[in-house]
Amino acid sequence: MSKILLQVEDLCTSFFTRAGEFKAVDGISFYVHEGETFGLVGESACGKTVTGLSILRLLPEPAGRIVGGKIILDGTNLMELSKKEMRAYRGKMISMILQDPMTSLNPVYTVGNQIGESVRLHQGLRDDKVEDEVISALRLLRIPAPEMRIRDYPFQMSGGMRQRVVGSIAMSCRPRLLIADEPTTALDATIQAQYIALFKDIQKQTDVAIIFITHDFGVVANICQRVAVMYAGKIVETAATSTIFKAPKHPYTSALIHSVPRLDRKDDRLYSIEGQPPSLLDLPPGCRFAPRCPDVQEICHKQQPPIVEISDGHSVSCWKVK
Amino acid sequence: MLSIMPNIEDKTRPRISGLSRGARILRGLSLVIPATVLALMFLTAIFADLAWIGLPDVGLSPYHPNDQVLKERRLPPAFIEGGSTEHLLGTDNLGRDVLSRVIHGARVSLSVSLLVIFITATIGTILGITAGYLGGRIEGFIMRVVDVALSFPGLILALLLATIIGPGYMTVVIALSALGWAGYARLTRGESLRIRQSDFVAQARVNGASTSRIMLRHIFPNVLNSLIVIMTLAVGMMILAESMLSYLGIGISAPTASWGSMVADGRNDLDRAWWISTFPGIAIGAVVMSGNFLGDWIRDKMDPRLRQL
Amino acid sequence: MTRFIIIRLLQAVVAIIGIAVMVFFLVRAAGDPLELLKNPNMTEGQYEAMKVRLGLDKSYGEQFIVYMGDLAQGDLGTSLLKQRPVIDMIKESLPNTLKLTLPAFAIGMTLALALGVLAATRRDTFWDQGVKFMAILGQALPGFWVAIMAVLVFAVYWQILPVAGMATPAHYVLPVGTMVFFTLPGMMRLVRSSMLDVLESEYVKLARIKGLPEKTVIWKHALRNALITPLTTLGLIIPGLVLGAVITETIFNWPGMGRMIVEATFARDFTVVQAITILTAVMVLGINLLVDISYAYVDPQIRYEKS
Repeated sequence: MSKILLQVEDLCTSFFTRAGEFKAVDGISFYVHEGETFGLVGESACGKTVTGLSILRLLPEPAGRIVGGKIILDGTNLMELSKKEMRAYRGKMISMILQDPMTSLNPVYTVGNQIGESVRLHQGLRDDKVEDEVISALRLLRIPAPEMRIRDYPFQMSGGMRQRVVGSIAMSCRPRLLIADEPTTALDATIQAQYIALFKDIQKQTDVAIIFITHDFGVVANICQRVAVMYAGKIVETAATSTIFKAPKHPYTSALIHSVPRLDRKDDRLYSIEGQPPSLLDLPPGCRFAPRCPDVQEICHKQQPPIVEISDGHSVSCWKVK
Repeated sequence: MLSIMPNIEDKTRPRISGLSRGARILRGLSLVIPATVLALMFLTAIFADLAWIGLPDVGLSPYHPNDQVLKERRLPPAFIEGGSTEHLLGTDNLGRDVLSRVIHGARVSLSVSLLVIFITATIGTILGITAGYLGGRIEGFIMRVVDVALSFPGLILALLLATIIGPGYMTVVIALSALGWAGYARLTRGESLRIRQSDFVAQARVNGASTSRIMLRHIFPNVLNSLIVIMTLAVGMMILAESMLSYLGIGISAPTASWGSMVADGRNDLDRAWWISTFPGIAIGAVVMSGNFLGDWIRDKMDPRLRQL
Repeated sequence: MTRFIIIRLLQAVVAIIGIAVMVFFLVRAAGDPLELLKNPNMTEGQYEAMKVRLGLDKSYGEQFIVYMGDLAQGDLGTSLLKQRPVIDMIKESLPNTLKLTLPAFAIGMTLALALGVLAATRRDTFWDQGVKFMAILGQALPGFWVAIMAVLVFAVYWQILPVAGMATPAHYVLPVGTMVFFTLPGMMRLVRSSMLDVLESEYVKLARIKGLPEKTVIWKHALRNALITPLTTLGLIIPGLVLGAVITETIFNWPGMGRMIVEATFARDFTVVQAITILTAVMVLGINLLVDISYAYVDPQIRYEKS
């Protein structure tokens, strides 16, 4: 197994609003190996995106704040860096791809300008070299005719192309860690598949580690080596992808896996989970999934289940598993 | 994607860690005070005197606003040396009671602004809905005129009108109405464009409803909310505009008291009688600010989309 | 782009002709302009001579042709009161108005940008509240009254600033300050709210993800987008500027076009008022055209669609 690149320990992130404290992320721990793709899966509003933004320390201020935990990247605790030092990490060491390609590029600057900006900032190159780097970043994402494209504005491109440009920006300085926040959700199904294949390829070329945030277990099966399932701000299960598909231990994980449409099972109706996730303002004392859990026991309502490692690299937080 | 709590991404995003008790009280006051000021203005406008039911000597105003007492000219207000409680806010250069004139001035301000709002909202809504619903060349033409009207200085038009028909109450009303409809037209046109797409309009058309019926029964009720918001916000603007025209002397003619002309009356007496100009100006500021606060509040309650306006 | 400008230019010309026609008929519909000029002491002969001199003896149709022909040649007529070509009067007073308006506009815009950005980037702090308070106050208090209060404080009470005349820079402080008051609050609010929108956008988030310093994020990525909205409404501040010029010039006795039109109004010198009205229309349409062009410059999408 290769070296651990990122280690998140007991991360807690909250939003402070008039209504009170929303515990968006409530004590999660995970690690990512170098060159690995790690999936972070859950329904919307479970804290996936907030986890990604926390690693970059880019929460919407002043409401959002990291209230505890450690984020260790390659031996450095990011929480202890000054604002300036942290900025030098962004774009260079860690990068992120946002969900919506239609809104994440600045409409008033050319594509070349927006990629070149990162290159110039982090690599301190002269202008003529910058263009070479920009073209090579576009080429990495297999954008056709990159020499022509650098003078285009975002509105002149299709959604799929724009998302590749966003990928070029993220990869332009060859970061060690890439956080991809539902990068394919806004795309058509065929373009989605292309994009994921592209990522596998990029990973082979650059050995970047990817945290792939998604709600879709189908995508997870396709690209992730290991996966963590999040529910209401907590990680409920972590395992290798193959393990989790074969033997999911947490009822929520099984439910999510069952809700993926499959071609090989004809008669099955699409599975959906009853009920709503709990309000992050008013969390139940016990297991957060208890109100919706099909296998709920008495203790589930009273006490939070501990995280138990049931086999190597497979840990679950459920009273059913002892 | 921060759907984790929609109100965080919302424009009305609350402050850090909620409101303190003091801030909540302040927030409450920012609604109560404007409402009180406006209510007071309404009441003074109505009950300044009861001449309208045949009792000219009864009312809130201590004196008749036009009574001149020449030996009591430029008396200072009660709270500074030389003033008396006979004239709480002092007297002006003709010996008229400033308080009585401020009280009567509310009438002019209020009646002009309500009348203008009624006229402009009516015209603007009719044109706006027509443009938005019918589209095509009619819309193109109406909207070009709206563009010009929105950027044409109303003051120049008012001066032109004053040159032609002379200063007066109607000059002010016509001048403010002549361009004021454009804002309503732009708003209602935008709303109608949106509503035109909706299923219930398509349904009405399928059922054979006439164009005018659709505009009246289906489009109009749906623009009403936004319309009310804009009309409320216009109260302050109209009072401000009226006071300015009166200040320049093309509005309500002497001796009728209006806040703008009172400020003008005191202009030459600044060195000896500052109160003549000061108090009517404070009245304008207080009423306009109250109107704006209340308008903002109504907008936030009824139609937060209009926040840009 | 050229095509777009030409089309807008033609539209503007049509609009100006329309306004000129409207003014012509408005003036005549309201009554015989001669009635305004008739002096009870005038003899019948003097009256007829005046009628001929002003061209008012001809039929409306002929008058209209003469009027439009004169306009086309840039002849704005003769002041009824001063017996001078209006164009000469404007040549004298326009520079004075510009001396007031241009500095006020520049100062107002700079302040609006600086304060608007300051408020938006420090949302809900002391600075933001301060800016919002100033804007609320500025939009509620009547400008003429604020100017008079400024005179009361600075000229009457403290006696540190002059009120009338335009000899020294000190003479400019109160008038320019008054003018700024007419445009600053609205513009400041607009910049603030548009900046707030942009700061929450995904591309600003992406700029931060790139590791750009906050300075670059705000002044390069956010501001240019945030300027689009205020720019489209720049045409709407013309009424504020005109209002400011008229009020300021009247209060401070400034020999500009604002004072000229007010004086002409009370003398019922309708040629002057009519000329300034038409000139204002030209200015309004011209500025709207400039706004459209600069808008295209800031927003590449418009530039491409219209080319």
